[in-house]
This record gives sequence, C-alpha cells and structure tokens, in this order.
Amino acid sequence: MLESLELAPLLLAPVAALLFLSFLRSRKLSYPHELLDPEARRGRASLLPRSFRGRYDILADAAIALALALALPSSTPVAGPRGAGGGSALVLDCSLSMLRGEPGSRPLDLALERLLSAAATGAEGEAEAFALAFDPGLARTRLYPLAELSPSYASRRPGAKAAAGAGRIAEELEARLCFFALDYRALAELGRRGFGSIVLLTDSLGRRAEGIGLVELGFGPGPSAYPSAARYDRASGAWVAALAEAGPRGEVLAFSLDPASGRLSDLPPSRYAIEERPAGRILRFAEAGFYVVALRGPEPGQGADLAFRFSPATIACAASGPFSERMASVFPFLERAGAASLALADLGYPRPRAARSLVSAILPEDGGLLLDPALSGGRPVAAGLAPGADFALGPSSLANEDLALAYYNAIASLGRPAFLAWPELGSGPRGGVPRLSRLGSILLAHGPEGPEPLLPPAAESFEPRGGPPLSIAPAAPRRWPWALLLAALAAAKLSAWALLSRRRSPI
Amino acid sequence: MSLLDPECPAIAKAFLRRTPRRPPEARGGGKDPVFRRAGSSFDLKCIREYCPSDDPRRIDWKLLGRCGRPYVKEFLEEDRDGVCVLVDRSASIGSFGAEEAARVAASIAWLLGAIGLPTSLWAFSDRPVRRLERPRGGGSAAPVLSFFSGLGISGRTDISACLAAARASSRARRAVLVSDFLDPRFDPRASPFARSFYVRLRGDFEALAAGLSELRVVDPESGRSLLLPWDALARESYRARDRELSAALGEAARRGSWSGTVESGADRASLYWELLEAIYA
Repeated sequence: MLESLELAPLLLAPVAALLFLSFLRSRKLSYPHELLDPEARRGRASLLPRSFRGRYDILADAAIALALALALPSSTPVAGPRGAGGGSALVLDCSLSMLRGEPGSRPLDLALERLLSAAATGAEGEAEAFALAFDPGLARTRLYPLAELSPSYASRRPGAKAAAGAGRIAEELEARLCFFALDYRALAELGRRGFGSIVLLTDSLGRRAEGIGLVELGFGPGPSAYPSAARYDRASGAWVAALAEAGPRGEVLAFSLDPASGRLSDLPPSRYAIEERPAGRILRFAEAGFYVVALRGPEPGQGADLAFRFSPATIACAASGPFSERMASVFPFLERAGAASLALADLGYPRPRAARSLVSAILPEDGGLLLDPALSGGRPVAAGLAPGADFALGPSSLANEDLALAYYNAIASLGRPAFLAWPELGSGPRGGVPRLSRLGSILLAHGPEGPEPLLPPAAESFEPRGGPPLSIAPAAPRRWPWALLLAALAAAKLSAWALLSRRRSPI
Repeated sequence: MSLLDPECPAIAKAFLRRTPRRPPEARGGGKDPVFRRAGSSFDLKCIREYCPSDDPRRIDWKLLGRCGRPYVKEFLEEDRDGVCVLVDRSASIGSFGAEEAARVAASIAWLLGAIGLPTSLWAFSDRPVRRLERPRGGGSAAPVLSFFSGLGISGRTDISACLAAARASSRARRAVLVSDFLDPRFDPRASPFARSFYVRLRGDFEALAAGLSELRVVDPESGRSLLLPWDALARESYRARDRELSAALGEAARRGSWSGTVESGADRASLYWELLEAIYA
C-alpha cells in the first residue's frame, strides 16, 4: 500500500499535466448557441454528469493511473512483511523416510541436531525453524512453526547439548505429526511470508532444488519394501501382493483389518502364504479382504506397514447392446447382477447404472487412424474416435482376434486398485482428495466406494534418484483482476468517447 | 463620418455617375390624384386661383393674359419608393462586434440616402428600439450618426416581429435587413416586404475558438452556459449549421430577395456596391 501511495503521485503527474493543459486551452466565450447545436451532445450522453462530459478522458486517465499504482506493487513478487531480503527459515523435512535408521542416527535426529547447533552458534542468524509435514486432516502438506510443535525446542537454552535436545524434540514431533509423504511446493509459502533464505533439512531429495538451500543428510539405512503389484491372480486363484525389497529381510506379519472399527486381527497362516523371491517376497491371500502387512526387522525399530484392500474376484456387471452383451458373456469373472459396479454398453443403447462404465461404438466401416495430412498440415492428428466411447470398433477391429485382450485390459484398468499411491500431495480437498483417517500407521482414504488404503510413494522407501528439479519460486501474483480493471476503465473511456462524440470507433 | 466606412462617399459618387436616377417602378399612395400630395413632378394635379400664400413664380402667366385673373398650376409630388433599413441590435450582435455592426448598418443607411432613396432606419432587438425617417434621403451623415449614437446592443432577437412592425408603419416596400440572423423563428422566405435584402453579419466562431480544446460558451441573449469540447464533431456541427443558415438565406434570394454576408473585419466595399445594384435592379 505504501508503494502504491508513492507511485500514485508519479502516475498522476501526467494526468495533472493534461488537466492543466486542458485548463490552459479552455476559455469562456460569448456566442449564440444557435449554430453550436448543443442538442448534438445530448441523448445518451446526458446520463453522464455534466462536468464529466468535458473531463471524462482526464477522469478515466486518473482512474487508470490509480489502478496502475495499485497494480504495479501487487504484480511484483510478494515480499511479505519481512521484505525481499528478510529473515531466513530452516525447514525440517518430516516425511516418512526421515524416520529410517536407528534412533539417534535417523535423518530426523541428524537434522534436529544440525538445527539446534546452528541455532546455538548463531550460524543461521535469526533463522526461524519450521516443520514441513503432512496434515491428514487437511490432506495436504503444511508448515508448522517448530516452536509450536515442540515445547522442548521452544524452551531450549543456548549452549545446551544438541544431541540430547534433538532426541526429545524428535519424540515430540513423532507424537504430534503424521510422517507420510510431502509436497515440497508448500515451501513457497515461506517466500510469500517474506523469508529471503529458505534452507530445507532433508535426507535425500534426489533432485536439484531451485530457490531454496538444501541440506541433505543421507537416506536412512535399513530394509526397504514397496508393493510392485497387488491384484487377483487368476492362475493361482489367490490375491497376490508382490513386494519389491532391498536390504536385509525381516519378519512378515499379516493382519486382517476391519476398516469400520479399525480393529486388527491376526491372520491364520492357512489364509495366506509367503513366497521368497530374489526381488522380494510375494504374499498370497486366500480370500478378498482388507489386510495389513507388517514388515519387521531385522533390527529393532526397522520395518514398514503396508495395507491392501483386495476386491472380490468377480465383478458385478450389467450390459446393454449386442456387442457389450456378448463381451459380458466372454469373461467368466463378469457376473450379471442387478446392483452392478461395472456397466458395459454399446454407444446408442441405454447405459446401465454403475460406478464405472465401458462404452463401445460399433462403426459401420473402418476409419483411418490419422487425419489426412493434407487436412492436418502434416501433423499427426488422431482420427476415427467416436465421442463418448472408449472403443471405436469398425469391421476390421471386430475381426481382430486380440480384441478380447484389449477389452480385458480395459476392464482390468477399471477395477478397484488394492491400494492408492499418493501421487499428488497438496492438491487439497477441492482437488478431489477424499477424506483421510488414520489407523495407527495406516492412512485410509474414504471415497465413494468405501475406505481404501493409502500408501506413501516409493520414494519414501527407496532412495529417490533423478526427477524434475524442485523450483520454489514465489507464487506469481494474480494479474488478471488488474488487467480486467484496466481493460474495463479503457473500455469505459472509449464508451464515453463514443457516447459523447457519437462515433463508433476512434480509429 | 467616423462611423461610416471611408469608402462609402466614393461608392455613392460612382454609383450616381453610373446609374441615372430613374422613375420609381411603381407608384405609391392612393389612385385618386385628389388625395395625392402636391409636389414638383411633371404630373399636373390641378389648376386653381392664386392665393397670397402661393409662390408668385408659379402663376400661369398665359392664363392670366387670357382671363385677366391669376391662376397657379399644382403638380403631383414626385413619388419615389423608399427603403426600410432594419438594423439588428440584439445582444447576439456582440459576437460579430457591436461597433463594426453599427458601422456596416450606418454605411448602408447613409449610402441609400446619399443616392436619393427615402430611407426609414430602424434599430431593433426583440422589438423596435429606435427609428429615423429620411423621406428625401440626403447625403448628410449627421442624422445617421446621431441615430447610432448611444445605441447599444441588448435583448433577444425577434426579426419577424420587427419586420412586421416596420412593414405596418412604413410605406416602403423594400427592406434591407442587417442582422446575424441567429433567430431560429425567422424564415427568410416569409418577409412581409415585396423585396428583401439580407445582409448577414457573420462572426466566425472557429476563429474565436482557434487553439482551444474546451469552451464554456455563454449565450449573450439567454445567458445559458454550454460546456463544449471543441473537437472535430463540434466543428463539423458548427459548419453544418452555418451552411444551413447560409442556404436558407440563399433560398430566399432565389425568390426575389438578395443576401450577402459580411465577415468580421473583411472588406465590405464590394458588398455595398452589390447591394445598391440589387436595389436598383
């Protein structure tokens, strides 16, 4: 606002000069009105105030100058109350991978020690500490002032032993935060708050960071495991969870989970089997259901909890249209049911009500896959797609022997996954993120089809390597409201000109 | 002579030399000679006995020789058609220049008198404000100068009313109207005079507003104020209205009248000559 007040006189100066010039070139004359045709300037223009008729352009210019004075400071990157070169922030990465390793040497502990030692020596100046953690209630990553999370950090004494304090702070953080996966773009908020220097204390980001300082403490040692596949295996008639593992392998415990009550119950060995494979173990479950697989050891404190929800092998479906009905009878796992979860329909036929649908368009003749290059200017442009259909099948497609395979894949892709990998953290509830609940170390996403287990991305289990650079630039200010305002003012000026001069265009 | 244009005497002299005095085109007055006034024409009105108040030089000596009694011959008055000169002295004349307008009107009135035309000089605004009758005309400038002495400009313009008043009280059938004609109620084709000669005093508004972008124009007659951006539209509008007025006067001129325009500060000798020729046409 202060910058606007400073800019406004500068921008209004030319307007004032124009007004002064207008006054200089203004005179009072005595002349009969008969030849001056004052009626020509009436009509619609009479709606405007009389004094505005002669000064409308000056007034419009003044309004534009004021709008520019307000727009210019707001269009520059937001400096915040601390100014562009303001304070510095130390951010503690509170993702799941920060808990890897033995207590005392985990990346979280190391980061806290670094933080405390920096604060004690004053190396970071008046740096303010934050914890970057996932908030299950909001389903997004957010920044917590470390002093609010940890009473030990808030009451630390200068010169105290950093290692001893880090342990207590880590315990407090583990008790209060959900160590899951992070969206590091949330760091941009610090830039908006005015922190000129941002340093992230993390284990291993695995990619280049722009706009922030990065202190990588090393990916924590220990075994790693992550599900590479979780589905119903028709060959063995069992539900399979294949794990990709690295490092020493410990014990595997399987539990059955009641998501409604949140109660875990031991799974009898007769209901599941474990196969040791070089790449990792494979767990086979005899029945569909909600399972939690706990990987423990081999050292105390190591391991991870994985949750799977296996759907029944058969899919209740409804079909309409001759092609879709035939296809529904081809696959044995498709069961005709009144309350269907999958609808197969031909285009043009009524679509049965179901959560998911697969629509096929039966075309009378084959079409090209690409538009004629003469029409598309040489660029490959897909053609032959029927709007609203997943399959566009001409005679050649129907005669293709592999059609059933493509259809099977399409049905399989519509099936419910055994778990949800969190691909885009921080998109927020408005971005379609379901409500989250926490059962111990397991996160459940409550969608329209019931609770589904939510697993952190594989980067929390295996050290990430490569990836697009992390760029934490200050958020670009919204310029369109100012552009809209300026356009409206310019349009008002032109409209006033047209009204007063009865011209259609100034050009 | 300061109120008259300096070229007026030369114009009158040249016009009298070029144009011999003609008899009037139409006789005025009553048809019965009994009721016509005696004068110095060659038309015999009557022969009557001499009375002591008569001029002895008018005694018909031949008749005295035959009859032994003195008789005198009376002739009819030489009848010439006069001209009404109406001078607009409303407040709007100020846009042309009050003094210059008076100079134009005085010059015309004096010229008409100088070539021997009876003139009836009227000053008017929304009503007649001053009148001067010169039934014999004459080359003396004093009556004209005294007529314009102290004659200011004020009031609104009502040309039609003043034309009607002049026509009702004057025997003249021709009228010279010196005005700016900024009277929307006046129709130049509806003059009550048999022949009308319109001298338009045109004050150029564009010259007044040159170099200005915004004008507050006060109407000198109504006092109303008009805030006017002096842009292309205003200029076009002014020119169109000016052309309309000139066209209306020109239309009247095609119907037997005559019109001429005097620009403020411009040479007027040619206009005076054209006016005199039009009157004698």
